[in-house]
Amino acid sequence: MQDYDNIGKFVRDKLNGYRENPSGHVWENIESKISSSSGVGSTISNWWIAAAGAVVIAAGLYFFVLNDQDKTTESNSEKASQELVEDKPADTTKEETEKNKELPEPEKADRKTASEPETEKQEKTQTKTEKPSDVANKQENNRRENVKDIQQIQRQKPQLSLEDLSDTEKKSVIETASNDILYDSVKETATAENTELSDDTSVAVEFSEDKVICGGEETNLWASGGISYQWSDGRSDSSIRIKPNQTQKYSVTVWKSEENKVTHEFMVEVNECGEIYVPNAFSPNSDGHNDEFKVYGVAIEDFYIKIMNKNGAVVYESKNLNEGWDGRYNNQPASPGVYIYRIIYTGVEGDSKTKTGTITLIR
Amino acid sequence: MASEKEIIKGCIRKDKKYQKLLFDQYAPILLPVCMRYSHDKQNAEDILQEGFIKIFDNLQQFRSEGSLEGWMKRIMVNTALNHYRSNLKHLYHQDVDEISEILPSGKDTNAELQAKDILALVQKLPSGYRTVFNMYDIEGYSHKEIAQELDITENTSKTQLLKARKMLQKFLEDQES
Repeated sequence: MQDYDNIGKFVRDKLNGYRENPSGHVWENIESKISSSSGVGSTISNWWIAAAGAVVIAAGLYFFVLNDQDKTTESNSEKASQELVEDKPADTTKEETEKNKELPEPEKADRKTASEPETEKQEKTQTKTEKPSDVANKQENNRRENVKDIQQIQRQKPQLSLEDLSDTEKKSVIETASNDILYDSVKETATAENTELSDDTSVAVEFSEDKVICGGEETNLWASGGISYQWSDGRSDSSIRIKPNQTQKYSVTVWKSEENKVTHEFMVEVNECGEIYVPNAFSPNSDGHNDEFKVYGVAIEDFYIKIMNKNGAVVYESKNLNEGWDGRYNNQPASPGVYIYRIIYTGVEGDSKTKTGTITLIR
Repeated sequence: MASEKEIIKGCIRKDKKYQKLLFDQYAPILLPVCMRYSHDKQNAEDILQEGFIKIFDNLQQFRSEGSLEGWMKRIMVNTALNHYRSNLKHLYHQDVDEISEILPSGKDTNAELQAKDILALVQKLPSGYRTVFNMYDIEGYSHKEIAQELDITENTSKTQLLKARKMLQKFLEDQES
């Protein structure tokens, strides 16, 4: 009998390196689709021009974003760009495409700098250069939304100077930025400027996310992009497997070169899964504190709660862990005093448990 | 043999030859990723196809410092998640009994389960379980990220994961006995 305790690892290991060939028609379909969409580049360049207002702010962030960028921002930006492409109708206006292609590089750059200060002005410029076709309208709408986003960002961060900020502030700025359109626009602008693939050897250091796990579970933390790694538990691989018993921090120092290193901290939250927490009192007086009697638990299945008064009448009953009792019975505020609860639930182990006790209703 | 950089450049130029090269080289690696997120191969091939179109359309955004394979995998995963989200209405409705009935029956002549058998078992999971299991256990997303991606609570994500693991464990044990 195999040991399937760590089923995730088992499946991951098994599937590692597994290859399977797709049927022949897949490539044929792709081929037909990509040959009819030769204008993709233009949509993107239009779009980054639209987002150019953000470049002013973003330019300063670029290197920080590069360094701090993690999986999430990566996938966010991918999502954004995918949506962007999906928004584009199948028959993109070819003319427009060609027009943009022919546009010489310097002119593009000029436009970008010209539209630097206010996004509103930029929006006008955009409208002028647009063709009044349906597609153009649609793109314009997208762009307006982008501009709106950018304006929002600018409102939030009126004058951004990274030098003035502390490290934590920097981080939060970067997070805001990378969760937004901003990051994409930076990335695309950068790509657009270096049409050749860059031979830059500087590698972005990436880290895995903070984790939330159940007690007894294992998880992976990883960093990438360095030449050597040093973890707080002494290990020096790029990825470590951990099984913490309680919530704790891990940190890793990544050497990008002999003298250039960066340290990152991971928070690993360990939850008691399959167990419940029942408060022993609540005060439904609408003061915003403990107004509701609610049971807390992670990974609870088949939950049932019944609350009775001293006479044995059921005042509250629910099968939903996320629901709470507001202290009312027959649409009247229940009287203060002691109530009895009975909870039946199934935890991770799959066996049904019962918990009884009392709660005090305070008014 | 063209280098990865040459292939990327060729694909950005929209050169058919290089596009085919990229596809031939990576499709067999990426198809299993899509299969993990699908209930059958056909569905996986739909995702693969859509993902590759996105890859070709967005390759100029790929920064050479990361791994191309990792980048492409993430696109496939995101495409799979889009599919999942658009099919959300069918979610969680499949009954466990129903599932065990459609399990591949009989035991493997090979004592050692093969990757394709494991894949088949993963495909038999209800789509909600499968998605969370893949994201957490294979891709390494956190519950917080999964909650955001799938618009569910972290609690649901945790519960789904535990249920998925338990079911998969049962599938495996059934296969062996």
